[in-house]
Amino acid sequence: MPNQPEQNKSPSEKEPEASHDHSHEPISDDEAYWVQRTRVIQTLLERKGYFTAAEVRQEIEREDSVTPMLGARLVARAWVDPGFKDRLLADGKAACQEMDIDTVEIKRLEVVENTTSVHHVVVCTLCSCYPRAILGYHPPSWYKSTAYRHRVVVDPRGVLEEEFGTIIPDDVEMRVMDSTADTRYMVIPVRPDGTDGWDESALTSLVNRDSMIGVSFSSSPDESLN
Amino acid sequence: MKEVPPNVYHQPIPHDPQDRADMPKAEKAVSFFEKQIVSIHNLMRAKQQLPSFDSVRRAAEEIDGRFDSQNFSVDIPAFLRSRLPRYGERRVLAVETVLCELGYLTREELRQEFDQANSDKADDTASLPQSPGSPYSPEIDQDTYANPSYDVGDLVRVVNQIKAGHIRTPVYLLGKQGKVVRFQGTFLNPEDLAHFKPQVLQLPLYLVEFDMTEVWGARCPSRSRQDKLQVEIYEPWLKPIP
Repeated sequence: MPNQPEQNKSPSEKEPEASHDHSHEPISDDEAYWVQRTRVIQTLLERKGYFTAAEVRQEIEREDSVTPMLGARLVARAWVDPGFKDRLLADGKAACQEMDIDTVEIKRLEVVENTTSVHHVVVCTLCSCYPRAILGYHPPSWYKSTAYRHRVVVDPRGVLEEEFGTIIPDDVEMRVMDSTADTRYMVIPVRPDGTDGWDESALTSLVNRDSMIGVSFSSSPDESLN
Repeated sequence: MKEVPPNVYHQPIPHDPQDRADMPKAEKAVSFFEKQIVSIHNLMRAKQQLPSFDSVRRAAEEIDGRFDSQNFSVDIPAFLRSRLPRYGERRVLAVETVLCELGYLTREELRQEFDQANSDKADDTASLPQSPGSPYSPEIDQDTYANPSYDVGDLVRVVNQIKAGHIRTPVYLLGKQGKVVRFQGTFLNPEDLAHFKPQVLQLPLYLVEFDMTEVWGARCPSRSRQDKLQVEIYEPWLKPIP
């Protein structure tokens, strides 16, 4: 996952508050409307003393800094350390704490392991529940789409094959985890072949975000050399 | 702090098993306003000014209902009324709704500030006293469901009846039979929290496994006849199967 793109700078950051020289026509542009509506909420709450602008900025920066790299570190550690894997499967939050990964917003983290006999895939059919604290605060567009939420619970094999090019062998059981309640799920993908002797940090580069949602496999060593 | 009962325009999250729509391939960059509203929401939760996420989920569900029935008691300009709000936009409206319900903001203030910002008047930044803590502090009922009724391996059926307001059981599971595969612990009932009920049940939560054939019947693709769905269900949504 690349870092958050530049174009997400707010208009107010690009244009200092003092230089208000825009027209005063009523807003009729979608994006500008929502920007202003959100800014109004923040301005009023700041004025009432609930938080400062600096606090909001820091929170945005903190959330931007959470990327699927955190999940990848957990997976790579689990691949090389069976004891850690057991602890991760038993209590996801406690295992995250061992690695100094903050999961305070997740009430319960369940880590499930893909093997040669079972393949898990995660969805939230009710909204877009996602282990944000370890995979990033903004799930991918497809994860939030009604198409994914409607289809993957009915035909998981079709969705994985048609949309992600992921073919699950017939003799592997598929388990669709619908995160409707208090647990958030993360998948440990199967460790790729040809990685014997790889160290943890090298393995981290093979763990992609989609493999931790279960719609794809971890990357093969050949792919990662490209 | 008043309870917010289910609104007439509240919609449970639908599920369309016949949906064949393509998924968005491009991953759109997240707009700054969406990051901003998410951060404001998370910050106020971290400071315990706002309660759990559940009320915002419920408010988001109401928003789709408002658009569907063209019931615009929230301020929605004409140019936005012809389509459902997008993901980040719905979040803005939902957070705004909950902030008003909890007394942090009023519709009048929002309207005034919006108009003022639009006509570019100088801000009058008089600071008001800060009020500590969340205005919603329910009483927790730990007794009614003190002893979980189900064990791992028990066969259960999901109650086949929708209830008004925010629910956390997907509609496609209503009436379906499954097997308890894990006890997840006890959690405050999100369906109570979502409506700011003065009393909130602490509920046993189970991971229940369903056969795809049981859930989808003839619609189950032949290649998924051996596959499973695993979904967490709160105890009041389950009935024993003898």
